[in-house]
Amino acid sequence: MTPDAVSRLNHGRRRYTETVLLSLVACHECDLLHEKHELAVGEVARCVRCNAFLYSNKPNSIDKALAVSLAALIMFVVANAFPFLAISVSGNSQSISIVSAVFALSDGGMWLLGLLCFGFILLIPLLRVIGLLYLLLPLRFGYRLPGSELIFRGIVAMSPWSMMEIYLLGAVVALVKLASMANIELGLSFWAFALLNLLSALAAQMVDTHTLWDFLIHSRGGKDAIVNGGHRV
Amino acid sequence: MKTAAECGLVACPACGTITRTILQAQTAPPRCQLCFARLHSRKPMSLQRSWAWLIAGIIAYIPANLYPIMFTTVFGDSQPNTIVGGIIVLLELESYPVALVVFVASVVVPILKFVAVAYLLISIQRKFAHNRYERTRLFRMTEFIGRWSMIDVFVVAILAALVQIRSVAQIEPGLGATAFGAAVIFTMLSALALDPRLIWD
Repeated sequence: MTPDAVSRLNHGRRRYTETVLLSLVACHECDLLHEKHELAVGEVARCVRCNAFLYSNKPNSIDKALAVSLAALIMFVVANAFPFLAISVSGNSQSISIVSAVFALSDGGMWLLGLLCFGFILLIPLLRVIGLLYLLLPLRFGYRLPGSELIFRGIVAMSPWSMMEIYLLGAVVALVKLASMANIELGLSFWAFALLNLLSALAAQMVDTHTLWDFLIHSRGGKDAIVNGGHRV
Repeated sequence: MKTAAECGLVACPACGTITRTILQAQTAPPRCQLCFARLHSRKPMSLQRSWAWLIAGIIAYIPANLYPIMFTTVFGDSQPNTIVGGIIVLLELESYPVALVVFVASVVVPILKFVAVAYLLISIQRKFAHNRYERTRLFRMTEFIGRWSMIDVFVVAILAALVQIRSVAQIEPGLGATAFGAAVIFTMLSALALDPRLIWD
């Protein structure tokens, strides 16, 4: 390639990439543009028009989110390895694990609903925790694994479909319905599952998507490096 | 006080990076340079998709209430239970807080959500200029609370798994549970398809 062609190529690329405006942020709920400001630790920026969350500055957010996610993964294993609930009526007893509810639906002929519930209470929460660890563990040491952007987008998109906390409340309602007719026993996995819910709520508190995107982009040398270099990592 | 769209800019729906729209239109399909997500200023076909899921949700909610969500068999005597019937059982057991939770989750929330999403859609289509802030808050609430309606499906699933004591008591899930689950999922998809930025345009 002639030097002339290289310079033309670079020129074209720079013109294209200059269109990324790094100092602005648009509200994701009303599209209002804001100038980005440096926030003090613990501060939160909100949209001036609709009060939607924009970005925040949380101290040590990666470390904390990593710790909580690791704990959540361990609790996930514990919650699925032991009995969840047990009842006994006049000498007969029955014990179930978390996944039994899914099988009860599919055995009752409603395999589609069972499959969806399997996703909502087991598969999607597990994928989210594993995905978060895949992002956070390397980020902690300043590098990144391939596909991080895709995985992070997946984690965010899956968040409304992770329904562990609803399942936990459902278990409580089911127990109240049975309390007058049978003896109920809460298994080890019930408490592990409750703790898992607490941990996943904490993990969401520890790191917001905006901060994590900044870390991900920083691990690729910062926005300027990506935009000016034009290379895909 | 200008929106990104008014300035000819588009914010990446995933990572929020701002790009100029005219230039990004040249690369097809337009993607964010930082996170490679597909770029769009407003969710594509937001109103049509939202209406479609909403109508599907309302249709699914009818069999959800007509068909039993589960069958309870006690000493060989089988009885169908509907959603409303389940709430009455809880009231008879005098567990009022739980009855309230189930009533709110499976009756009040779905119906309010149908009304709220329909109102938001109509208000956008008729280009209402008032109460924009309140309507954004209504949208946020609908989006947050809708998933909690799944509680009734999980209650049925847990009861059907747990109460399997032969010759004493047995619970089987009913078709109403699938219809109810479908109604909840469809209305969640309806809220997800609705772009709140349209309220302000």
